[in-house]
Amino acid sequence: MSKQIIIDPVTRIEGHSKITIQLDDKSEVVDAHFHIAEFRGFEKFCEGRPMTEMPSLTGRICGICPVSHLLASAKAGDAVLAVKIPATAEKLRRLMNLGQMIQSHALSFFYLSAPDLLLGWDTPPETRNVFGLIKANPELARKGIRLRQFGQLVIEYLGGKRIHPAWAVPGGVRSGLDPESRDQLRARIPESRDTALKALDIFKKSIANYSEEAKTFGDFPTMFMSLVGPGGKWEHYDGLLRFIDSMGNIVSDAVEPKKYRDFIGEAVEPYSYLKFPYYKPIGYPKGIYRVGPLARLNTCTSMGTTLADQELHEFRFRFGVANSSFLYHYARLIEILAAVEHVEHLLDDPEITGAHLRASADVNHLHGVGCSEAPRGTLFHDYNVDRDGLIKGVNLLIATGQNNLAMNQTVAQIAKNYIKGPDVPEAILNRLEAGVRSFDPCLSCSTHAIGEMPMLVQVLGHDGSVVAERSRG
Amino acid sequence: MRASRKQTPIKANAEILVIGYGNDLRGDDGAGRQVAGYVDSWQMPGVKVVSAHQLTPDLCEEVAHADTVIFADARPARPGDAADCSQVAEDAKSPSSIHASDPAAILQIAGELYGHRPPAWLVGIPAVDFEVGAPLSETTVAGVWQATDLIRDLISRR
Repeated sequence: MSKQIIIDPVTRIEGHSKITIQLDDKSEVVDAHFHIAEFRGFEKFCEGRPMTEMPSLTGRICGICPVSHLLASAKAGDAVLAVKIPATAEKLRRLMNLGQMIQSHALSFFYLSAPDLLLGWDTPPETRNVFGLIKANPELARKGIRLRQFGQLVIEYLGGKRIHPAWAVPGGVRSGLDPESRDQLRARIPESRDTALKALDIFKKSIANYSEEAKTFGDFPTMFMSLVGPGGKWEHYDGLLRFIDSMGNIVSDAVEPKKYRDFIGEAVEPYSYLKFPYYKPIGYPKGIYRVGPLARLNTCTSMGTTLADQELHEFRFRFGVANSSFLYHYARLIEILAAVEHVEHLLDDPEITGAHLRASADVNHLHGVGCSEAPRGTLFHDYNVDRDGLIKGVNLLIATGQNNLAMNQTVAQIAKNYIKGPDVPEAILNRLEAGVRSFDPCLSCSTHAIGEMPMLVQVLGHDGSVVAERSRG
Repeated sequence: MRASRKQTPIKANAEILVIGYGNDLRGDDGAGRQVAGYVDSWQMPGVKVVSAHQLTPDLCEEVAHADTVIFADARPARPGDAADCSQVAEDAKSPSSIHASDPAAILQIAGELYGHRPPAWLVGIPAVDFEVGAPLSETTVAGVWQATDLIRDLISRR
């Protein structure tokens, strides 16, 4: 009798999802899917709005990474206005994006994933959370909280508030950085850098404990894509797109983001509101590619900062072109370190406190694409406007969506490796969730939905009847 | 209905942290932040105000360094209900998740990580409408003013 196992909802990720696992008559896994049942609709209800509103509107897509949407939207607006923003404005946008990277990655590692990684997959759920982490390692918990706080302070000092700052606008930014705030941020650099190094040290020392997870949490060949800067340097705000294959060979390079549609197609499946982006020249679904921290480390030639480059060197020595999605955690920590170092460089730049913040223009193009690297991967805002600057069409290509094919394959791989029958122990359920968590998905961003689901796991018979049921939380 | 008032002393010269939180995109849920805005406008010495989307562990350091904490948040209520104030029990614990923490959780983390869990009050503002984008309901508008009165009363007792 074939059975279906459902995990609903998946916990400790941003947004709402469920996992279904289909067993055959021999209770072997034949397939697994990662379902997104949310739908937000920003691409539709933004039609008719003034383009100038889009940064604030799209910033509301998410409470964790609003800055990413703010910046990509502002850049789309820059393209419509056909302006080059002042140097200070670009540096401030970069500073905010780095703050965003730090706070988001710190949240992902210390709050969402560390309970699994540091307390153990088989720790009871009631203690496998941040409170358990605080009890087990209060010093690390304290450092992680302050590291995230540092990233949020960067955002707050620039944008006036930590969540949904109305700050980046087409043409530049609304306010600058005063010397006192700059100095306060600078004072936090040594501690933040030390925390990033400490977290890396802990992770590297414990990675031998995760050899099975590294092999089964999404370890399969795919392409990777990200923005890169001049000379292929790690880039988070601007640059050109690079696609590489699983061996590190460059497949497409120096692609202008505004031409993304020539390289990226979007498929849909009936079981999920999350689109399935793929590399067009190869087609769907073989054109699977990944974005985000792992992709950025695989595609770049260097991080551009001293300590992060040392860590990248060690990362590549150990793993080469890393294909295991489990290593997203490692990549995230290296990016935190790089971001802290880049923040320090920007704060030392005298232009960072400059006063020229905005370029002015009217609508000069009826189409604009804004692209930047969100913490979770490459983000595209694609706007069509009329001559009055009112939105006629919007396409949002979200980082998490671009990892959708890979997340589905990851769930299937974990399920096939760990589930050997109809009875599914708690620890394996958490491994399924943890596999998804490696990607640090932001489902609220990628599907534009709000929803709540009860915590329920159901095992269904081949006729759809509930054979067994378990609730959690 | 008269707002309840808890008679609890606050020590003289206390540093008071007022945290108003909620989602100001969801109607009455934003009441806590409204209250925080008003309290902040008083610019009272020794009173620090935080307006937040939600309670997160990042707040626990500020909480631990305060002598007293006053939380202000919307609570589901019926039309016409009044704001109220109650002390958060000193041993209150919460198994809340990392995203949607409550006062007990933040106080617990402050105590665990920084060794100090200050006395705290929760001012509840009655809320009836949590729809996206809706303005504050009449009940909540009245509740916001009642809440600011309660907070002013708490602060004045130090």
